Amino acid sequence: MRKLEFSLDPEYIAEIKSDIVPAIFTEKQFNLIIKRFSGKKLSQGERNNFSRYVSKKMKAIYKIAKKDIKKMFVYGNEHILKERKELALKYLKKYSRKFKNKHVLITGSFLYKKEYKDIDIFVIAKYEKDDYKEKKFHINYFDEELYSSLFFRSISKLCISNKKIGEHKLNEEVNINTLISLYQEILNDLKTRRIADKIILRDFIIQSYYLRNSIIIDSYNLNLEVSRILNLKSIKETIKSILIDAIIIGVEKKESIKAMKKTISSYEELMKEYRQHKEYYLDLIEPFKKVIMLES
Amino acid sequence: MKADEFKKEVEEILEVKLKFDGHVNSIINHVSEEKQNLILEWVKSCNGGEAIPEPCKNFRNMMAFIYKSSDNKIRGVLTKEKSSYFLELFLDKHKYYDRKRKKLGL
Repeated sequence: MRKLEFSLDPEYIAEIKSDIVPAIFTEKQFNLIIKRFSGKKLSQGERNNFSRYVSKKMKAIYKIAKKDIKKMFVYGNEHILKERKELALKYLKKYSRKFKNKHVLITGSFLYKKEYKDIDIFVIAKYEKDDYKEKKFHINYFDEELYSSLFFRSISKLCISNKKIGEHKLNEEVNINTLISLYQEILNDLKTRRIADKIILRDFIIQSYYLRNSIIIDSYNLNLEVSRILNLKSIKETIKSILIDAIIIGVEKKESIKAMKKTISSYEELMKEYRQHKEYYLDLIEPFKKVIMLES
Repeated sequence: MKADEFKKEVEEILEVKLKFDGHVNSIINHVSEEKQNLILEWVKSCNGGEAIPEPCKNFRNMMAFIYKSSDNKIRGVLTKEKSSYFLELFLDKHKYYDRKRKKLGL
């Protein structure tokens, strides 16, 4: 059966039957809608009637309600490669059909970089599922909590979406402590794995921009910044500088000194138990001491 | 090695009755024995003091060791009470790890 460009909830339709029969649909058409969207098989005659009467009416209703079912929303057009935009629109249409009634968007380096690893498809639904790969497509499932994150604000500045992206209240906790946590993890990665974790580095950059100037960095500039840092010989020193800048500029003096002292003290406790890592910990807390010095 | 055997081995290494969190069974049942052994090696390094713990901001008396597989698909968090026993082993994918990290204040 051909996939439709619209979808209806049979339970809801049954509930509002008196409002739509006979005002919009006949009893026969109504039963056809219920049958079709309950997943039952339609006969050839029923399929013809559905396409001839129900689909046409539905398209007209969408137009009256100014809900163009084919409309896509492009954000950050200036950074998107022309040929990729066309492809992305095609893929988005395909995945919007696959994930009916879901908010689907395409984001990531596929939109703006000649060389890319995979095509990120974001599917936002009520319930989260595990991500998976489908050839070159990386299907990322998120629940609606994503809307209130800083990460979503960043990707929504450069993406192609099947729904208009409105303003969402930021509910994610972003503060000096969350930034310190990311800094700690980056340093731990550099020490134990000799490489920074791209996802953590990405979050660190997003948070540092936000804390410093309340700026939401878009994924194009974020990608440039992450690549720039990863290509540096002194990644660690650069990360330390970013941390110090963000705290000095973006956090109140009293709050920053308190957080720095608390963090230093927790590391001093660890140093007692793990003397073998003292050198590493002393290096890690160096920017915290610097912040205290500068703020004092 | 099945998930139950793996858990038993972890407890033997750490000499403690441990809590397990995340999709540990699913992770262990779906990775190769080589990868299972790498996780066990990491547990040993936590116990032996080679791995570096970080403080948990939301639980002042706790610290945590972080594990990341080389392909970045599996994340682990082994928590320990300061100057005391290991408490819990969490193993899962990044998405869930991120929540755990935030919960602990890591």
